[in-house]
Amino acid sequence: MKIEIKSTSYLLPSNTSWNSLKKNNKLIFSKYNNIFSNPKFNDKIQCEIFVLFLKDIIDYYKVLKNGIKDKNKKIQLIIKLIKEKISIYKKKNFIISISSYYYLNHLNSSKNKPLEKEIEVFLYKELYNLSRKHANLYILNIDDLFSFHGLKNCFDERNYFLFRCRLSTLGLKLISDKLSELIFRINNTNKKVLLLDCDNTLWGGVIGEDGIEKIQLGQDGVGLAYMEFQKAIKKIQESGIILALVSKNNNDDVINVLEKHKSMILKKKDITAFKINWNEKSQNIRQLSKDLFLGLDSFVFWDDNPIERNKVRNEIGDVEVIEPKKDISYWSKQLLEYSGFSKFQITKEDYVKTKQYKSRGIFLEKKKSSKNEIAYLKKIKIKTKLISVENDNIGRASQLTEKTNQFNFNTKRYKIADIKRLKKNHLCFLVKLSDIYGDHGIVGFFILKKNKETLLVDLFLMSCRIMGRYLENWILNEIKKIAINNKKKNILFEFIPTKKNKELINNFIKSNNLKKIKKKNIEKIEKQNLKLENKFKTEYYILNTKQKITNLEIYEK
Amino acid sequence: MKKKIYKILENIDKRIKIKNYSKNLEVGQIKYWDSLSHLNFLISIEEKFKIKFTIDEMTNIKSIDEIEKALKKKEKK
Repeated sequence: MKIEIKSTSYLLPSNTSWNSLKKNNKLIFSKYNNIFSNPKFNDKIQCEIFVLFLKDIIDYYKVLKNGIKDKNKKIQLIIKLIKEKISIYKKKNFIISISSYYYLNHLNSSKNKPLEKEIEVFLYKELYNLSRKHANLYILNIDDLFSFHGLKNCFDERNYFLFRCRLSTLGLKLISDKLSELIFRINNTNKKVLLLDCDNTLWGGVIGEDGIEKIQLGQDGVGLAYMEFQKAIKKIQESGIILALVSKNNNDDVINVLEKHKSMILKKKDITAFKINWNEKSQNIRQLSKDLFLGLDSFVFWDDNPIERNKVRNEIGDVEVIEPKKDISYWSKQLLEYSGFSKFQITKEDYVKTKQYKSRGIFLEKKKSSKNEIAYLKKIKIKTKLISVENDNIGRASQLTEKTNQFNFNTKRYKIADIKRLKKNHLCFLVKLSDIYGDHGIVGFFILKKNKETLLVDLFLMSCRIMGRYLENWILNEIKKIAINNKKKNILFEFIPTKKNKELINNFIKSNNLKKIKKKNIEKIEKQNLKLENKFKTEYYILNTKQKITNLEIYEK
Repeated sequence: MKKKIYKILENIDKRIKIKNYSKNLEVGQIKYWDSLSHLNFLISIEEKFKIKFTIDEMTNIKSIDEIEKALKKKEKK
């Protein structure tokens, strides 16, 4: 990412403290006066970071003399300037970091709140209000970040006199590391699955050897620490993360503990998947990835055994293998601080994630064990509906483009503003689905463009949650109907293969007989030059509207 | 110790090349070793040797010999 950092202090740009942020990003440090000005062409900057030291902005003496009026003016101006920027540059991300650290004679504030604190509280209230309303604004509280390490270790007055840098190299490094984490999280979805070992991870001891009475869980000491760890796991699960047990054990032994042990915080209903057997853990994890339709890179693995950890690390590179602290007393904190699970917002959907995945698991199992797949799918009473994109669902539409990676022809990410723009001259449709497993809500999105002779599918994606119902065939048939209604003989598909989508999309192309076509041949059909995607690796496929589509009997009323 | 100190200087800016590690040089004498990179250099020394320079030392120390001298003094403590 191209990042511009502006600060009211000099931040020692060439110092090695910035290495963590420089690793994956291009950094530009701006001059530290006039930080709200917009130098010529900063359009290429994707993220603007402001590091504001209140000490530099507010002349405290002046405020003390004139009282509250002066403080408000300066802060109101800052808020106004920030508001303007984030409203104009909607495609850019803004991170505002604030430090209001001041020297405090703690006894002085025994009766009266210090003025600095009042200013800080007011400023944060305004900024958080803004960050809730604007998706492209993020706040980083530097003093909170520093407090773990000791504020006094993160500031250095000497550096201020030498280069007007208020921070020590430790302070710089902490900011660099945290910004690096935040930027990674802004650009990548968080982890979705927590894989847990059982023995010496969820409880002390080995259930197969010690038995349910002797494992350490709940009693003072180690038992209490494990219980606290389970509480942290439960908190993670409640924020929308899926839990899976991956343990070399007899299934019954583990289930017994889950169901009967009085100090178990985690219950059977909290666990989405159970891979409790004597197979290698890597094998189990790969199978889980297929079962859940989730990429291995969304998995996090926690195991107390370094041998198991190394095996998984070496055999499956994509899974994040956490290195737990040596003392289990600190596991709870380590898990809650792990940034891979951090969410900017917890939605209604998150609360029911575990339930959703469990019911998916039941659906897939029943389908597998049924003798006739199609007959089974007919039995589950699938109801589908096409709806147009409106204000009340455009957020979900945009979210689908941002989150869907597997059944997604070209992985185009559309913000709400992009979809509003496309709606003007494209046909945009959302797909709703329900069956005996529940109302799955909006699970598909496609966007069509009418060319002279062909109908171009600009976007076609489906949530993996409801895979296995041939919904993609139903959608294809709806697209075919629209093509026929608009007198187009051919439907054009744009496929940009990625690691995540190539399997599902190639299967779809094969089973529905989409024919690969060269760009120049498309132009021959259209008798004009279409402005087609020129990205390296883009493939085009064509479907003639005369072709029959299979497995539609599932959807026949 | 001079060589170790020069290596830290070379790390500040990849364009800095020291030909003779036993010679005593000072800021301004070679290309890219200017007042700004010098301050960064001293901070790097602080980090590598786990010591701290006073503000006076930061503004007065200009040569490799002076750095070496200051380091040896701090080691004794």
